[in-house]
Amino acid sequence: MAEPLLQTDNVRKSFGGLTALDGVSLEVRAGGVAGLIGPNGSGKTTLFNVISGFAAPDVGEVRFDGARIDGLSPDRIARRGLVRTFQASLNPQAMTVMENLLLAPQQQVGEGVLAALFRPGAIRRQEDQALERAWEILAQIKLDHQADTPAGSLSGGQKKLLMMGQALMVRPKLLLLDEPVAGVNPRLIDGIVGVIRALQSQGQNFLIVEHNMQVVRRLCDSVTVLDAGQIIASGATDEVLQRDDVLRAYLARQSGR
Amino acid sequence: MIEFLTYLLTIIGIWAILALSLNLQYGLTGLVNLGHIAFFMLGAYGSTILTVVVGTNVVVGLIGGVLLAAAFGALIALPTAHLQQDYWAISTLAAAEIVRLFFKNTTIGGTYQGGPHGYSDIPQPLLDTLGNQGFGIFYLVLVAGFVALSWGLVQWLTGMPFGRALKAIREGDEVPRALGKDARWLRIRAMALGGGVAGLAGVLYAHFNAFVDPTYFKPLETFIVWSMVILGGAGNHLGALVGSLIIQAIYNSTRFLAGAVPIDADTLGSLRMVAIGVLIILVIMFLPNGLVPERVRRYAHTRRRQGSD
Repeated sequence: MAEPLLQTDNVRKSFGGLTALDGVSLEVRAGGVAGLIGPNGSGKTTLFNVISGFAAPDVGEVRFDGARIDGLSPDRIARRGLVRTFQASLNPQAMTVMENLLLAPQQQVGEGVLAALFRPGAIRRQEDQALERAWEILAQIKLDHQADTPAGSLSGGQKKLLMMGQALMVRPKLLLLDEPVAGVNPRLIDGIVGVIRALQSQGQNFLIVEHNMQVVRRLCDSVTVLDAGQIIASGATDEVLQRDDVLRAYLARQSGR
Repeated sequence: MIEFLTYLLTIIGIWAILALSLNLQYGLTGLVNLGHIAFFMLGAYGSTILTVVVGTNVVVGLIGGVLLAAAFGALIALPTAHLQQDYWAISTLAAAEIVRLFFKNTTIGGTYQGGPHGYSDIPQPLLDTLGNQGFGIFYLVLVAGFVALSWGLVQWLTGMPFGRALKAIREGDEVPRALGKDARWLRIRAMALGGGVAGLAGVLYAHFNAFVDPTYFKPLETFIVWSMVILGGAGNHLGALVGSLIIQAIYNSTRFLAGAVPIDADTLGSLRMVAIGVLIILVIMFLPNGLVPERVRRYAHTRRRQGSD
C-alpha cells in the first residue's frame, strides 16, 4: 500500500514537567475522513500544533506527502498543502467575511509588491476566480448573506464555519479541522457534516478533532483515540468506538457524556 | 502672508508623507513603530551627505535617501520579527535613538560638517533660477506631487492582496500563517516600504530647509506623526492627510496666533503641545477610529454576477 499521506513517528512533546505527547505514531491515509478523539487534555491539540508546525516535537518525525515537515514553519507547511483550523476563532475580526475568504488562497500574485505593479491582469484574474469560489463556499456554509459583515460580529458557530470556509479556499491536500462543530447551532451541524462529506467524495482528505460522538460516527471512516498523550486505539470508527478501553478513557474523565 | 502659507502647506505636505508611511506600518499592518523619525532622518541625512559631501545632484540624493531609509526599515524588521508587539515597539524607539546619536557623534565630510553641527547649505533645486518666492511655490508643487504619489502608492497597495495580507497580520499571525502566509516577510516589506516613503519625506525636508542637525529628529517628532495618524484615523490614508493638516496647523499656530491672542509667544509655544495632547485624548475617547475611520471594502454587489446558486 502507498505511503500514508500524513505520518507521525514516535512524536514526543513536553511542556516543563508535563508530557503532552508520549510517543505518538499516527497515520492518515488519503481518501477519507480520519478522526482524532480523546478526553480533554489528552494531547489532541498539541498533536495538531506539532503537525501544523505551531509547535516543534521534542523527539520524533512528522512526514507529509512523502517529505519530513517537522521543524518547518507553519506557513511553509501550509504551502505544502496541509492546512488547519483553530478551536477558537483567531480570524482577523476587523476584516469582513469575504476579505477573510479572499485572504486564504495561496500563491496570490498580488501579495508581491513588484508583481502587483507589473502584472495587474494576473491579479484581476486570480481575484475573480477567488471571488467566484468564495461565493460558492459562502453558500455552502450559509454565510452568503453576511459577506460584508466583520468577522468579529459573527456568532461563535459562524466563526467556526468561516474558518473552515477559509481553509477550503486553499484546496489543501489535507485539511485539519479542530472541533469543527463545537458551539455550532445544531441545525447547522447537519449542513457542516454534509459539506465535509460532499468534499470528501470529491477527494478532499480530512483529519478531524471532534468531541461530538454522533458527528464522529457520521463523518469519520477511521478514528484514532488519544489518552494521556498516547494512542490507545486506532482503526475503523465503529469498531474503535465499541472498545471497552476507549469507553473507559472517555467515561472515566468526562462526566455526563 | 502668501509666503507663510506656502511654507505651512509645504511642511504639511512633508509631514503628510510621513503620516502616510506610518499609516502603512501601523494603520494597516499594526506595527507599533515608535522610531518613525529615524526613517525621516535617514532620508534627510542620506540625501544631504550625497549632495553636500559627495557632490551628486539632488535626484541622486533623493534616490539614495529613500533607499537608505527603506534598507533601514528592512534591517530593523529582520532581527525583531519574532518580538511581541510591545517589545517590538521599544526596539524601534531604541533603533531611532541609535540612528540619531550616530549622526550626532559622527562627522562626515569635514570637521565642521555633520556631528552636532549638522549640515548647512544643502542644495535647493532651482533656487537660483526661480528666486525665493518662485522656489517656495515650486517646492510646494513638488511636495504636493510627492504627496499625491505617496498617497496613490499606499492606497493602491492597500487595495491589493498584499494590503489584505498586511491587514490580516495586524490581528495576529496564527491564521495568516496557517494559511501559508509568511508573516515575517510581510512585516519586513511593510517596514521597508513605509521606511522608504518616510525617507522621501526626509529628503524633501532637507532640501526645503537647507539645514539639518540631529536636534530635529528627537523622539518627540515620532509622536507628532503618531498623533496625526491617530487623529485622522488609523488605516485610512485620507485620515492620515487630514491628521497632518490639523496637527501641523496647530503646531505652527504660534505664527498666526501671536498677535491675535493676549498670550506671549513662549507660553503659546508650550500650549501647542497641550492642545495636541488634549485633542488626542478627546479623539480616543469619543472617536476611537479617528476623524476618518478605516473603510471596509464591500463585496455583496459581486454576488449576482459571480454567484452560482
